[in-house]
Amino acid sequence: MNIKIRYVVLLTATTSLILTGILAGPSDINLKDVFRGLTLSSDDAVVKTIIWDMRIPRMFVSLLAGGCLGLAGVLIQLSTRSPLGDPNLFGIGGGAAIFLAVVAAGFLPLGHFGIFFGSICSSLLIAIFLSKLISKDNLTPIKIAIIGIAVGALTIAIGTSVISHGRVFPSQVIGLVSGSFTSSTWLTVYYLLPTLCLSLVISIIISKRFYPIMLGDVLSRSLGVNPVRTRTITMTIVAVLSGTSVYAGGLIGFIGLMSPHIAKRIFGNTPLKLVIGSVWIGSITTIFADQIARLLFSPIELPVGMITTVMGAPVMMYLALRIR
Amino acid sequence: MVNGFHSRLRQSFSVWTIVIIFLACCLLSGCSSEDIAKKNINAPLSTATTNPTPNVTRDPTHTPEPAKVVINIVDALGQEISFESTPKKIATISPTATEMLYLLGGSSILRDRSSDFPNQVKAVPSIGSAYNPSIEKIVAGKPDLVILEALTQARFVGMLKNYGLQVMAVKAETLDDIKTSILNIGSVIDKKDVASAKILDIEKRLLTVGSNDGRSVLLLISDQDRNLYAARPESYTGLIADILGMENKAAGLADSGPYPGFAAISPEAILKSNPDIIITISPAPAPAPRLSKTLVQIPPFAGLKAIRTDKVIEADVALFLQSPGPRIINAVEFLKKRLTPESS
Repeated sequence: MNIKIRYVVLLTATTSLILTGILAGPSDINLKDVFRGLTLSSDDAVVKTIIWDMRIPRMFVSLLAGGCLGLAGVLIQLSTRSPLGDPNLFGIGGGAAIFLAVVAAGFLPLGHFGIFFGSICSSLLIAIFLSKLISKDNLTPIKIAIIGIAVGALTIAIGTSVISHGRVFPSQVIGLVSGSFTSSTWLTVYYLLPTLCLSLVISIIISKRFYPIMLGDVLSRSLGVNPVRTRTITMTIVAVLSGTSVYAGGLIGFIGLMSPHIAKRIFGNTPLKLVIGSVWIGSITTIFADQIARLLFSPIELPVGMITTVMGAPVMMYLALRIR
Repeated sequence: MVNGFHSRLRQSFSVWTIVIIFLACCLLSGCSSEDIAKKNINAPLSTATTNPTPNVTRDPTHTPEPAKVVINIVDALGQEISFESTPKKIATISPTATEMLYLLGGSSILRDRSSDFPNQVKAVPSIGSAYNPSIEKIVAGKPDLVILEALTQARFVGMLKNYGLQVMAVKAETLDDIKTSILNIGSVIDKKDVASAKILDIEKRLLTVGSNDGRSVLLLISDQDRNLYAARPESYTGLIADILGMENKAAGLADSGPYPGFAAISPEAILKSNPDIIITISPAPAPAPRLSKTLVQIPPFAGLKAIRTDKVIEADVALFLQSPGPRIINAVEFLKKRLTPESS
């Protein structure tokens, strides 16, 4: 019963947030016109453009980017056993941010796909670097977290230097560093959807490997699961997801960190439930943050990463006090 | 031993196979996505299939005329733009565009939040910041034309055009830019005579103030971390001093920091350049402290010629930085007045 209520609440929250994303916006279109635009029965091409070309793709992008972050977060936390695992905190998203800073500064003239693929590749480079650092056997979760945070700080320092060097406008910098879904298009949706689906399928397939890893590297080996190899696969998926999410909305903090913790309390502690639950929670929290970002001071938009930080920091403090 | 080696080789081979297959899948999905996206990039506009030319910005009351090009202009981004009729609903999303339009007697249906001159503009609905405007609000306003600023807003041109909007850019980097942009707007809104008259007025007033000051100057601004930046002669702020014939001590410095056209300058470099005049700009509104007041309190600066002779001038942020455009003449006249011995 309790579980059922939780699912109903989550489903209601998801539906309401999706509807808010479609029905509300900075332009004063009344609900009747929105519904007519939604069903394509409106004669007003502008309303159709606003609904179908602005609000709906943005709603999808925030859902999918949040899902990517939630999945990346849970994969790091499961494979490293560190409760502090977050793709952006560990600098994996920072790799893509450095690449996007280089593009924004005008050093690399690339098309949409070049930027998308470059974001993934740069995140992958950081993930390989991080994997090498944490590939030693028997590293404690706290050591892995410290190494991750150090790599994260390094990528932010490099990214900031690139931004300072290039003539980048303040709003672009804020969009990249604090996150923004302002320029979401269907193209972004088309890149995000297959990436998240593919990553989710692989994550579900390998989720069984996390059971022995939870018991520690030594026990995991004796149970037939190589923790280093599993981390290599996991970090590759995390890099793809982080690069994709940074490409879609910049560095959005705390989603990857808090989604697995919330999912654990709602769905339970098995890896499979955590993987699926984190994607769902990541999506909900991100779309919620985006609604606040675009509607609170409309038409002025706040950086979505700022909202996720404001939401995530107290949640993490609460969780930290609860974790034994 | 050999078996162990083979087994490890096989295991690492299988890991990397998975990794490579995964990346290849992502690459393929991306490629196919791009193909789909290319086909769909204008999909929402093509939803208006009843309209053969999906120009969502047209006034519904406007009766279609035969394709007759009335006005041709080349805007500040080098775009060749044709207008078949005078645009009725114009959105100006930068102070430069807004002030140029209102100078000629035009009016805007949408503005950015920094556009606040002349006074009646304040009643026009805002689309948010000029650096991060609400594209949805612009599209919803159904303007016949969006005028933006070329240097800071060029990245919005493609985005707005994708939604079927006519976009024109203006700029105010040099006096010629200002004149050309005013003339372009004049042509578009059918007020070419007014534009010529206004340009003539600016030229006359510039002749009156003269261009033979010859004194050295630094035009300074600070950021939230109290770093100082000097306006280069190539910037709009630098142009104001340049018109008066002042020698800008920031010439040759490289563009750096958050303000385009400004160069980061160290206190040592300021002391070394020791200009006759210092012009300060404080971006934060009062009661935030004015840079002209805080600068003189920095002990090493006490020896600066400009501070010893009380030649530190606080300039209005809108006139000197935020609103490049036709009011450049007001900025030049203000500076001239403050530089003449009687007023100082």
